[in-house]
Amino acid sequence: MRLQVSRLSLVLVVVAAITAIPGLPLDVDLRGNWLLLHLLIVSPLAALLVVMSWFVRGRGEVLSTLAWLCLSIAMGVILVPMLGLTAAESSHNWINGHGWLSFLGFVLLGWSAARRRNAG
Amino acid sequence: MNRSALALFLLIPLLCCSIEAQDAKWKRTDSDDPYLHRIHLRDATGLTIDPLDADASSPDLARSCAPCHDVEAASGGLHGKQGPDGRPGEPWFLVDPRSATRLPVHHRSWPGHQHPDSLEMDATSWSRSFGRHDPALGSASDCLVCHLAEGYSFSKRIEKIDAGDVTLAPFYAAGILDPAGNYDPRKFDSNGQVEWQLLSDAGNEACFRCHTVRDLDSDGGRGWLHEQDVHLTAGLTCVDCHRSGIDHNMVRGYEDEVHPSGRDVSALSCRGCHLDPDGGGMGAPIPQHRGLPPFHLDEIHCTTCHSGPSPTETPIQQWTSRAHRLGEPSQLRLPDTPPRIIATALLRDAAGVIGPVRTSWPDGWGILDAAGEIAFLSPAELRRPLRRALRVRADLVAEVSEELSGESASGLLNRALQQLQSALADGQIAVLISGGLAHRSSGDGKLESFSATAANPVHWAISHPVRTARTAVGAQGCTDCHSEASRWIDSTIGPTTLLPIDSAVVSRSPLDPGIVDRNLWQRWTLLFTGRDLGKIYFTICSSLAIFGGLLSLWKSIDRESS
Repeated sequence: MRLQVSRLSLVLVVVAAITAIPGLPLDVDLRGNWLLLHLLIVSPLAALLVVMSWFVRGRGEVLSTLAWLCLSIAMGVILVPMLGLTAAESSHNWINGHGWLSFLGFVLLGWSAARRRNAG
Repeated sequence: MNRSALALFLLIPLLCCSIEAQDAKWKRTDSDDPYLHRIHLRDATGLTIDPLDADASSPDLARSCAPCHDVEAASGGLHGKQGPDGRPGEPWFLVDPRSATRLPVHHRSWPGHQHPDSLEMDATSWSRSFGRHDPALGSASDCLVCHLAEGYSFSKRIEKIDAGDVTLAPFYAAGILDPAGNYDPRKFDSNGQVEWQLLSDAGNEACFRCHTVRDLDSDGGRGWLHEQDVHLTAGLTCVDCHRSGIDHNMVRGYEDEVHPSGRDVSALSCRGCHLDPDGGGMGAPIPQHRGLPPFHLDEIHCTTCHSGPSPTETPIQQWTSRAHRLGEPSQLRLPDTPPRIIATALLRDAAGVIGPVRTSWPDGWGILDAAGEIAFLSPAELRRPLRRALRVRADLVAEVSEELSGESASGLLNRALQQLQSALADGQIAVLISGGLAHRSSGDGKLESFSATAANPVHWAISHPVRTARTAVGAQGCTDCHSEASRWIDSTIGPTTLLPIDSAVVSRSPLDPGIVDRNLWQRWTLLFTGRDLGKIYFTICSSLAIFGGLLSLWKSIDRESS
């Protein structure tokens, strides 16, 4: 069960990352249909992140845990403009922060997987 | 080295002298304190006028101001129809009841606007038609209409210009000349000088003479819908933003405006003043727009949410000073007084940014050439054929439209088209433009309607009045726009025809192609029904995930270290 949740989360993270590509380069925020799709993907992912943090990653390695934590913080960062806690003009910074943290989490996940594969 | 220094030493005073000489030509106080003008009036030859002289010649405003001011430069500039065309602005409307003509006219090459030359309007006929609200008086200008702070009767000006007394109209308006055309001695001091409170900024009222816009509610009432611009309420004046020098290159204040002087005027636009780092003039607050995704600020003009009348489910009709002769006391100004100007339509501009516009459809008669272009005919060209075909004396709409309807009216108008056709060359077709369509004679006594560019409406941006933040669209949340109940999507507008013939009355909505993507908007609207729940959901998930993640990390580190 844990493996299935982990795999599903990974798939959703990858798809969410793909749907965020039209938001590049920086300061060209994700918008329109792609943003809609991104939100659709991350809605179940948000719940899965909670599951991963509390029930799956508890016994994992540091790198992998750090990766999921980065993704969780990225979700928290995007809530700042979403909840109207900052001015619209500053939202770019928070959206960029969300992007960079997600990217970092994504890289760490890959690094963690690579390390595990090398370790056999 | 010493020679260079010596040359420089000699050159600097020379340069200074020449600059000073240029400035010295015109008198200036360079003080913020207004200068009370006590001056002699001059006639067309430049000689001073003795008002007590029974044979005193007529005053000339340009000559009277010229000793101290560069009146030639002041008569030009953007305010004087010179300089670059820029973004389309409010047209003049040539309204001729006899031919049912209502055409947008302007000297600038804006889409859909007729150039005065194409309608055979020379300076005299321009003054007779539009001089009432145009500061230009032939080749000179009426300085007083904008700069005389007190004692200027605008209605008197209109009355005199309508009577053809163009050059003396400012003096009647200022009370210098009495109704009989004699100098009023009470306006002069013992030296024969007149005392005028002439100010570079004579107050907003001076601007309102030609730039008032009045909203009409669905009952044709007015007054209840009037909103004061938030900037004026805050104590600013029009010219605080719409600045100019003596050249009268008045800053128009829209984004990306290229000023003829080459100055950077970006800080005098909404965005430049309120959002850009160079802005902040006159205490302009920085709007927070909390919760608004920032791309909205890229895709929508500030005016979309902040300017003009609040969106309603029915089109908002407006009167403007220039189109409806505001400022003139009249009992004949009625809700259906042409031209029909509709506000709060949304359009994308050339840069693809959405903004609110005023819209008006042209009505008139023209010639369709072989290339498919339609050239409008002037009222003077129409007078004889329409009188011959329709027996129109004064008002085509009243005499034809109210007496006839349906096919009988079409038949009559068809007769007028055939009358016009008889004078045309081969390949030319007489057409009637009305109701957003072009109509031509079908040959069997009926009218045949077709689409034509010339029948399309003209648009010009709405910038004022700027509403307060609390009354802006979106102040009540995202669903001000992203909801099926949003009022702006229902602002259905369409052309109406003056005559009882078919018109292109179709609903026009911002969700029409080319403005807002209807499908995308509908998808987002669906999403917005659960937006608040979504915020709660993501906040809970985020909090739990971060807390759980930190706990997991601590456990993992602890495990690995042990």
